[in-house]
Amino acid sequence: MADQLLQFVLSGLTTGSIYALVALGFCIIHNATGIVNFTQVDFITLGGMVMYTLFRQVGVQQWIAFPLAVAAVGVVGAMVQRLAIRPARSKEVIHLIFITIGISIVLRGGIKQIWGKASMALPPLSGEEPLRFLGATVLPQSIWIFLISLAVVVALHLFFTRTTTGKAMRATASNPRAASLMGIDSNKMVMVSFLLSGAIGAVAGILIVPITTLAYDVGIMIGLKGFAGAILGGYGSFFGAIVGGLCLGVLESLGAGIVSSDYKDAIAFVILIMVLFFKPSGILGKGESTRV
Amino acid sequence: MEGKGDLILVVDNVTVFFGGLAALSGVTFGAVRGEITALIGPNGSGKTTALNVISGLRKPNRGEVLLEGQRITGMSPHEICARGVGRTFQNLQLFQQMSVLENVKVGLHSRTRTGFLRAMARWPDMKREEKWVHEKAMAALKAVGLAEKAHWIAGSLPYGDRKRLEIARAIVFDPVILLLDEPAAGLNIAETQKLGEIFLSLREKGTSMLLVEHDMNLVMGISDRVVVLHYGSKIAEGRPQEVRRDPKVMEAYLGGELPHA
Amino acid sequence: MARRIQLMILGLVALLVAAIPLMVTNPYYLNVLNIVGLNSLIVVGLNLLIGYAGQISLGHAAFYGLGAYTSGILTVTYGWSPWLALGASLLFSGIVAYIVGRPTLKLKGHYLVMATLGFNVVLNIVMVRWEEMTGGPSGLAGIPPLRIFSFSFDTDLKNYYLIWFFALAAVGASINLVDSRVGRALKAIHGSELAANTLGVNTSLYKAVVFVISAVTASLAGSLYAHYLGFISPRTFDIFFSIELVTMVIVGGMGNLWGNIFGAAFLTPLPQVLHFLEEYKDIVYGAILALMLMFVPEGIGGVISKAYTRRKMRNLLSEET
Repeated sequence: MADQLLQFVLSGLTTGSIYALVALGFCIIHNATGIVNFTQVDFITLGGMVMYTLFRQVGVQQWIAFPLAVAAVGVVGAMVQRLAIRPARSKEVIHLIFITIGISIVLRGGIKQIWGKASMALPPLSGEEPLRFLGATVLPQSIWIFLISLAVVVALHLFFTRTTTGKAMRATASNPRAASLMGIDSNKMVMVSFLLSGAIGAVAGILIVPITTLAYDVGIMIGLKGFAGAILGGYGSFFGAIVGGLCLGVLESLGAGIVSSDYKDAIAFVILIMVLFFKPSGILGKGESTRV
Repeated sequence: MEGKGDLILVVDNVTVFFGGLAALSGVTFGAVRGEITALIGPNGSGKTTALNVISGLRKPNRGEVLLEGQRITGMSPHEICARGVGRTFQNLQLFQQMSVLENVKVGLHSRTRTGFLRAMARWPDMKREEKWVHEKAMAALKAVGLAEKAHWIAGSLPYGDRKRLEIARAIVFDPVILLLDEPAAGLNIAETQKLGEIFLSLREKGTSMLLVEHDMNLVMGISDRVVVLHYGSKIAEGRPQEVRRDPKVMEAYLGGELPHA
Repeated sequence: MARRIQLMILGLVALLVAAIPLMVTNPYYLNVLNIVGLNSLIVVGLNLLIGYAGQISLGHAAFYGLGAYTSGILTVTYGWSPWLALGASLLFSGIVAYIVGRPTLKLKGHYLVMATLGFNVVLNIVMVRWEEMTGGPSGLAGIPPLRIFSFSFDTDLKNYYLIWFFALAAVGASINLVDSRVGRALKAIHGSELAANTLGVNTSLYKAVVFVISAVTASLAGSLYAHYLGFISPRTFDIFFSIELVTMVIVGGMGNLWGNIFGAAFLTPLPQVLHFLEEYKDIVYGAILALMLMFVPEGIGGVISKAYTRRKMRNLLSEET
């Protein structure tokens, strides 16, 4: 029983790390613009797709293809901002959200066009042989997921606290008017946030696709659950995205293992709904005080 | 607490915390029925918080609010409104996309009854009610001088008119007490004068008022009593002339005297 | 627009709708028009929620599905009479909507969006997985048509009149509702929830009621859909349909009832129309959506109504001088 439990927790932490990355992607854009960026789900898919093309079709070495793919999707993210968000006549949140929905449909259509509708396989970063760990089996890919996710989180943290651009982004997020009065170009900050969330989404996609298989809509469920993780942890908080994503992964895995695996996909959303009903500010969020 | 006449509103030992900061500390004062009571104090003294507590937008951490002797602490804003409390906002909360007339009609919500089903089916009672609503709304607009602009879109009004619209909206249902949050802010002398006249005529009709204001001319000119807050505590209360000369009050306003009325 | 005028337009539209089948007899087109009618029915309710109460729901496909599946299951598995099943599904959807809506509507902005989205996903998963009840991914078949005594609504044409009767009745009810104390209260909530509260509007109750109304209209459409096609499957009721519905509202112009009907009429057949583009149809659909929102965010209805308001204001101002 304990073995099984450990198994569930480990596999939960694996998917949880992916959710955490995706949650961070949503979080960064939310803090910069106040919107939910639906194209995030397609960044995930694109990461897997570009990686597939580079590695499987062009024959680039895996460890070179990885950063290339990430960079490419980052550029796509920046372009989404430049071509669709920036020229928009209305800056109202609801309008921007629906623009991202439209672009998401376009991106998915484009992906379907280029790579087709069939599922594809992307090999894991190292071997396929599962490793044994304290009575549970762990895929090597999972270890890569943990390590690389951790690296991404650390890199982001350093970016936001040590670099000028990162600090400028935080300033814009906390007080856009003051930030622009100090010479920070808010458009550029928003573009960087899209670039980052594209890159992070791509990392998530590349990491998880060897386990789940690759298809034009693989990003949707992962993306939505990542968003649920962001809310679970406390929407808008960097740390909350990580905690929420990991918790969601573990809860989902435990739920599927112990309660029912048929409804596995529903678990994340039931948790989401419960959180929104009882504590919308999430695990780490401070309770919302009634403001006037 | 002294005061003649019955107290229509009592704020009793109200304390409100924002995080670790006390916006209001054990504040106690009353408004006498039929009088204009001014609530003044430097910025940050808690005046708007007090109004928010009275109108139900914020629950106090401690203390009670009594309206005509009944406890209204913790009731929801719409229930408090239904009991006769009208309120205007410092930063104007008009319904920008609705017409001037429609804005005022919303003010009669608590005095009317047509619900979803009746509205969808166009119940005959509704016509009578709408007629009454229309007349009362036009009367309120006339009282503040906005009757000709009844069909203008609220968002297109000049600033002074917007302030008056907000007042019309708050008085249309004949409140027993009207809470005014800096109604004269941003108005020039002539407009403020007109505002004062509107308030005085409301007082004639028996409406009590709690007036939060920075414009001392207006305050001294029309108030019957003045309550002074400073950093969340009450530091003075009494007739306008008494409060003007109170040394604590003068100190609170940075060592200057309050301007002559 | 004044209520009288709107009701007249409604009358004209009703005449037009009644006359169309005299000219259009191809059942394929009638089918499309029927779906437009069903979508219009949903959109009328959604318009109240989004355009007036100002709450966005990305989960209304769930209520559409709830109506369809409840009607379907009650008639197919339990042998209930279709009208009774319809009534029961309306009641059920209303109750579910109230339970879900009361806490959800306290949430702001995208929390609300995500809660409704999450609700839709969960319900959709249940539709797929609970095979014993719902027939699973292959759906539920054999749903009997609605009947009045011996008259059975079993053709495209008969369902056309049934569906559009309900759709236009809903439009009429909505026109009446908007021009009333309730409509004012809803617009007030949208304008400033804070002020609405202090003016005596019980905003949480109103928002919940509007949510329930919009859910019940969607549910009604779902039941009609089920009895019309005789067959339902989970794919019709996914979040993408919810997104399409809100798109109709936005493209038509939020709060603009006729705009939304136009949105439904325009967007429903669009994927079919774009079919000739085959693989490119998604791209074009998404591009239309994005471009519309980028450059005409107020929607078609918004453009028209702004022009109308501007003329009205100009007339009022010229009267002043």
